[in-house]
Amino acid sequence: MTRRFLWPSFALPGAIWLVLLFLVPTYAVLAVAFGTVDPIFSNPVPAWNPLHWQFGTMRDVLRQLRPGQPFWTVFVRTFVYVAVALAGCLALGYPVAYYLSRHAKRTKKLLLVLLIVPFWVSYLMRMLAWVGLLLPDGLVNRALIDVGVLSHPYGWLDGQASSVILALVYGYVPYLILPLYATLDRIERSVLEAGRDLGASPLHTFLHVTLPLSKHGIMAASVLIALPMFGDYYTNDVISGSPRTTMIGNQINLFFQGGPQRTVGASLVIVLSVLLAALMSYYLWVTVRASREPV
Amino acid sequence: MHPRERRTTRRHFLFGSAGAVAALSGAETLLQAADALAGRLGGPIGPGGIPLARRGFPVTLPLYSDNDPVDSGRTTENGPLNVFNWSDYVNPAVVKKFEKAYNTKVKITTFENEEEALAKLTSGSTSFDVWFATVEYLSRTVAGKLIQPLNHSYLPNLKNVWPQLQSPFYDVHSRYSVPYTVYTTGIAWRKDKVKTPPTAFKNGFDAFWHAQKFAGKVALLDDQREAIGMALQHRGVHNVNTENAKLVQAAANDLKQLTKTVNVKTNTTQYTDVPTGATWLGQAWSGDMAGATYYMPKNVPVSVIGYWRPEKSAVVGSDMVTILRTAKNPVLAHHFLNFLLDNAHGLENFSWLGYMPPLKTINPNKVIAQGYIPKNLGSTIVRESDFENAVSLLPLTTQGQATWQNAWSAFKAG
Repeated sequence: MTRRFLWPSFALPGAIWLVLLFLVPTYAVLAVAFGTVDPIFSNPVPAWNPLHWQFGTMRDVLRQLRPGQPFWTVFVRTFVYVAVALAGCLALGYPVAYYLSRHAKRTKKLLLVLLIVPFWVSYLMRMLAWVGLLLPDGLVNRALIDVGVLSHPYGWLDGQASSVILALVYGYVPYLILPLYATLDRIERSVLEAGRDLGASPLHTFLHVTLPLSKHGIMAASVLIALPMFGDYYTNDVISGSPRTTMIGNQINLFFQGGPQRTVGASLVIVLSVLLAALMSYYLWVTVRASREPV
Repeated sequence: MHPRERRTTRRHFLFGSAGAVAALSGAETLLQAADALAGRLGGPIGPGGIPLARRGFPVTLPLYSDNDPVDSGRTTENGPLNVFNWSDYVNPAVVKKFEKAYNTKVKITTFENEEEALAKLTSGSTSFDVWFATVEYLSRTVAGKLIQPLNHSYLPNLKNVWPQLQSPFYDVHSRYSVPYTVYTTGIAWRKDKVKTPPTAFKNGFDAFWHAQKFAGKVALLDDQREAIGMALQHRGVHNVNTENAKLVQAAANDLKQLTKTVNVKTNTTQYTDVPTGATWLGQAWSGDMAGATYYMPKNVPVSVIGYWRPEKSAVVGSDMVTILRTAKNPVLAHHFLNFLLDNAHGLENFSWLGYMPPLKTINPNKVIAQGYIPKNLGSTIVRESDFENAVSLLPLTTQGQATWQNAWSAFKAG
């Protein structure tokens, strides 16, 4: 009897954690989105009973999600930014993770520590530091002028989409490298050697052995950084502030931070969550399918 | 963003309407005239059931039988005094002096925006004594019984305040609040970069719509009331508290045009962005720009900074201090409010803040000579007479708030 409950009991803390910090807050967002606000302070009054849910706000939000409408513009922009930033993170992060797992020897530990160092400083602080670096007479402009790349200061902080995407890449790339490194490090050396023994060139071995074997790691790491990027609003706030670079997180923040329409903010959260859940389902489907395939 | 609205005399109103006729299409003129008239008739009821204060319609905030002021002559509590304030909004030296004078400790907890503050206060889990409030939320916090009425026997220094703010239109008889600072909203710019400053235009706000040459270096305050309010004034609409959806939408569309032509940014960091050159032309608060000296890069003199606000119909704001209903140290809290209204402490606070306390003894003409404000930023000084011609960003009805927010959201979507 004891044994019967012993092992399942190990899952209990995780299950409680999941219920308290995921299911309850998710339900709370639903209750807020389909609830009302109090008449004096406009604080949300969640409708905990689904029978009392009101869907008018959600209908309005969905109406604004049609092509050409404001929320559509912002959603499309957010997806483009995240896709480009993700590609940038992979282009930068994969070689680093590859080097760490394959070629770094004595320096490996040092490099790993250096990769963890950014986690010691808060994300917001790192972004604010970039503002200092990207100023018209900041270090970046001065360095680029000194080496002759620029003739006059570039307006990095002039509300540029490129600055926001670069900032996203910078902010999230450490979160991508570590899980990728873990995946690449687990690939058996013998498998690679087998590839080489069978006559594959290093490039072929990489393309046909290493890359397919690290596919799961790439997917997992991408999901890990893409999800928070979708909800990011402070990177844009700090680095740009231009309406041209507004992401969906900024719009959610706009409705949550003030005014009588918190329900709109919560509805946007639900729309975003549903879209992300669809992406996640695709990831899970790919993972499950891959795990069934013979290696 | 707590404001006062222009006092509209009949003559002023007729003159203003005549001007508008010349400038705008017939339909819009009618809209504006109707709107101005509605403003004069006043009396919209705000969230919480209290009439919305307008300059011509002073509001005496109600007293409630279950929310009495503290009795006179009570002994002062030992503290510590819990103060809930915006970050960096009181001179630490003044706070230290208060601690010494009353042999107590002051614990300051800060907030970054008012919604965050209200969320905390309404959660009921806080125990603050003093809260730095704004006009926007004053009547709501009274209706929600978050703050307590003041006992003026503890506030003899209220007499130091400008007469019209001793009993302001938003809180007649200062029942619940005492004034803290006054400021204007205007435009800051870099004189060494911008050849078309606000001073070059008949309507200075036009400068934003003529800034194509330095696109990307133009910023608005990241505040829907300030930014859309400015666009309304650009259109010649001085009722910056209008709830007319067409007018608000038209103003937001003007802002959208700025996104297209000058890639306008929205933030509240002009105090550092204009000195560093990240922004060359930006909507800014006077109190922020008064301290520009401290943010100038090496080799760039503060004289390159300009600040303009209209002589008439400038947006003037005033912040206030209140005592929370659940204060554990209500008498000590009154002493703190009184301490801030002391002439010497007010001046010391001003020297650190850049935001002026509305005290009679602070002579606007002398603060430059005394070194509190750089000569070229004399326009950041707020005079009592400024209030005569001022407009203010005042609370809106719930429907009005939604109108403004939707227009702002559409602008911010880019």
